[in-house]
Amino acid sequence: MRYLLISLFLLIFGYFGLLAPLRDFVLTFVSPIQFGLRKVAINTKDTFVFFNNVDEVRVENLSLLEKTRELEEKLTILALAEKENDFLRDQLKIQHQSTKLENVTIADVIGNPNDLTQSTLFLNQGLKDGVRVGDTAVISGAVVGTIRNTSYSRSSMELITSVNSSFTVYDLNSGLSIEGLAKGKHGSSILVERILPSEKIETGDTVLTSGRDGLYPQGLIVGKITQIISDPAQPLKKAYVESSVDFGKLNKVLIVREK
Amino acid sequence: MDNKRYLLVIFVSFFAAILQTSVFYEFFGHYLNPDLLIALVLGFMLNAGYQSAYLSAIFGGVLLDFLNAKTPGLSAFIISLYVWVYFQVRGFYLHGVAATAMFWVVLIYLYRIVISGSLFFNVKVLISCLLSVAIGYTIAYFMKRGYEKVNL
Repeated sequence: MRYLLISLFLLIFGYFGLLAPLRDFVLTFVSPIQFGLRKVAINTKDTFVFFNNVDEVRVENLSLLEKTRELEEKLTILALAEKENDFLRDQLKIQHQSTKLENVTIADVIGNPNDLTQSTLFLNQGLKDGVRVGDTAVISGAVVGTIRNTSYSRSSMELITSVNSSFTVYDLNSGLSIEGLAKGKHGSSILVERILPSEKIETGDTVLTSGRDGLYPQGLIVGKITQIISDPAQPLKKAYVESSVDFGKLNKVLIVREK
Repeated sequence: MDNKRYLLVIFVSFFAAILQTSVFYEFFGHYLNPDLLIALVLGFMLNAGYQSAYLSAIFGGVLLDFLNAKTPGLSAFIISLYVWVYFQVRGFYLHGVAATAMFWVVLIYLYRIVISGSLFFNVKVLISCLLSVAIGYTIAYFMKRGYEKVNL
């Protein structure tokens, strides 16, 4: 009974936030061990997967080599276009605008075992690294989620596929004039609502964040349209967007800190 | 119980909590991930006695809550409550391995419901509970073997 009372007192202390300094202190030492062990587990798993799928890897490698050749060709064309662009800028006296992301930090990712909806992940960066609530997590130019909670050495991130997630997007192929409201639908699916019937969108179009909601910066990739729902009885169209990010295999993210 | 044993129990509980949220989570996935800490507590209860079980529940539970960003002390309290309930009812109702194992499967499932904050039924979670109990009994078996060797 004595131990039960001790645990009850601990719960009461914890509920009122009295254990927060202890939590921050303990996690400073434990987090690196936890994230390190996870990396070891991932590497071990990957090694097993590699040896199980050597044939597939070979085919994939050949296909990637082919793609690399294609991309090299495209790069040459782009380099020529860039030169031409610089020449035109020079002629028109337009100043270069830097599009580099500043104030970014790299964070390791670990899943949240208690979140059955799988809509949140933990990051090994916290207040000590300058991470704040509302910061954006991205990977390869694609938006991953937003920081919801931070402690001294860790933070939790809500994915864009979370049902609580809602942000404005636009269709890259049709321009900024076609906007919609994106909502998470679990897994890697996102539903874009409030698209006018007259607006022309197609499956395969790339969807980006518009930045008008103030939640995510403008121009981050959300995904590609996989299905358009156009019901004549409904005044507005909807579209399903599949994120380009594999949230299940996410190991690292870039946190774009708000200035 | 001497101080060395206290420290060993606490260290093993910490390690179990870290393994549960890192390596095991990576290998077993979201729903199948076994509750290693509860399995350890079960192992201690079946062999080492109530003090080791409570210590493991309190220290491991608090660390687990820290790692899972839950209210600190919630897991510690629930698991300690389970230990208390187990020692209260085992002499009256829990006769045999099967009854004890089923009792713990139910308790672990309830724990998952309380911690996740939503009422659900998922076969994978049920398998995870069975796995946790199996690990608990395995730990208890090896602990017993260890004690026998020490006594010899």
